[in-house]
Amino acid sequence: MKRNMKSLVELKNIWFRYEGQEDYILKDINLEIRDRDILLLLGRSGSGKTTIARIITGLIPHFYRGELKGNVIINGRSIVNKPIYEIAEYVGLIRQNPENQILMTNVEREIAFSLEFLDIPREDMRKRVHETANKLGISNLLSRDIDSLSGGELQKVAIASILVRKPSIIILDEPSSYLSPSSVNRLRQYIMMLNSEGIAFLIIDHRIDYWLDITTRIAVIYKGKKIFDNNLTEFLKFIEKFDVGLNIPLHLRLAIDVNKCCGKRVLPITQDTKKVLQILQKGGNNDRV
Amino acid sequence: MIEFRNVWFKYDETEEYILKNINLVIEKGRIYSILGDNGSGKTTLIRHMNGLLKPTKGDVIVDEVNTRDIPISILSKKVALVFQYPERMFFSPTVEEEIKYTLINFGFEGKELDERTDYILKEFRLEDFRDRAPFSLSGGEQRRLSIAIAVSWDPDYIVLDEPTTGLDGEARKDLTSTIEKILNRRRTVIIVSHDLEYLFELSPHVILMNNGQIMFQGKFGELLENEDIVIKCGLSMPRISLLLHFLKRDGNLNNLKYNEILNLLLDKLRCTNYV
Repeated sequence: MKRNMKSLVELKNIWFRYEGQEDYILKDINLEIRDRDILLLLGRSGSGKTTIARIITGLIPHFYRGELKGNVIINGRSIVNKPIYEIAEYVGLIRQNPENQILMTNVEREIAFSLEFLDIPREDMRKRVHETANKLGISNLLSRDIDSLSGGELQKVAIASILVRKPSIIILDEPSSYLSPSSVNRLRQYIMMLNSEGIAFLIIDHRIDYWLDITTRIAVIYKGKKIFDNNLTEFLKFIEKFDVGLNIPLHLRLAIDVNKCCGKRVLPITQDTKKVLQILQKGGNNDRV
Repeated sequence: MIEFRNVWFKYDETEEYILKNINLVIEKGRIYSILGDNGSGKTTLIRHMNGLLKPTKGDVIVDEVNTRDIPISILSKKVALVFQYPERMFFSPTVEEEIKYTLINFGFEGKELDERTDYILKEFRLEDFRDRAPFSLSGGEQRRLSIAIAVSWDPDYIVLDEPTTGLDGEARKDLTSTIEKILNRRRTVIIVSHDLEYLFELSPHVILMNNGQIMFQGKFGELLENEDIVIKCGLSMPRISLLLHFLKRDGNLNNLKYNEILNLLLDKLRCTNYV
């Protein structure tokens, strides 16, 4: 059965420059996030990724000032002149620096805080807070003071406080920056579960290797322009042809470099490292015959 | 040499120990990486290196001096700690002034101050940015500046806490060449990380922590042969390590730097007539 892919977010011909800056940081960006997408947004530092997140969440133009051209449509409605609280109903943003979004002094209260405005009975609130904490593996932190948390723990709390609200789209800006691989694994599993329940994700992260296997689409921003927007298969072909300063995982970089040095396609550019190993071993076997 | 002798540490009486009987020797002129999960004690461990924290039990000895016996202001001249997102601490209007501010704090003045500043600007390829505002630099350039500042007074030990955080591909290359520069001057570099992929740039001596204890010490390559320990300690194996098994059959994989792996693989493909 083919699902009807609904458009959750549409950026149409977006141009933006920050107040006091001459150059546009975004130049004619068109980007769509559909129902159940896990969209990985890539690009070098300063390429405009975070600016896109700010536009989708309404932080631009409400909080960061500048000149915004084009249209932003969320759930079928233009949000350009809508107040932030209306946008926040649909979009949750987990920011780069978790300290920027923490408001309370205790972990359980912090996670519960975002439910305060949703008119949910107290018992249900508790249940949702504990369920979210459990899934992120931070149940043991619930009674702790915010001040006593490590960087990684704080980030998990910040993530929990957005996820608990279950908005229709969640934006994660550099989620892995303070997290260890095992914590990222747990987050990834939780994202996949929420995604299967219908929540779409936009993930911005320099650690590409963490997300390649769960992404439905990848977009690349380069100097304010979108230069790529397609699936993983096409992305692997793209990075073989163009070096745009991304942090390419080593197993892919190795295959790309080998092919470049040999002047032909010796190794496939694939996430399936076992396949690469088999091909290498076959090369060895040929020699012995 | 920095030596941890039976170091136990907890922040207050009631809580559990965060460091549990740490024994560790950091030798001069080498590169180390301290690895481990969130909350494994990495940051607490490095804060003992410049006396920011003192052990609850046991001793930390820096170049034959116990950290209990010497003021932190003197120790921090020897051991520089660079925290995550160091660039968040910038506040001077220009790159030059940002460097000078630190040097003045460490007692530089007059001609020596100017010469030292020029040397650092040149050494870390920051000359073109001299009059720029630090915040106008790119992410990688800002990280380079913050490390340049941390080594500006020439400490013997440079401890970098998660230096790859928030860096794109180009900026990571930049970081590698900055670290190599420091190593070439025979200084000691200690990187706190959980980014095993990045360590292929440097192939350091690794110290793996879990729950306040050291679980493994040895060469980076040896660590990658112990997948179960890596996973148990909350890290993940880089996918490239699967390909290393293929190269390792010849037993010639001593240095695990990416470029050497690439060359080795190319050699091997050539001699199997596969290419």
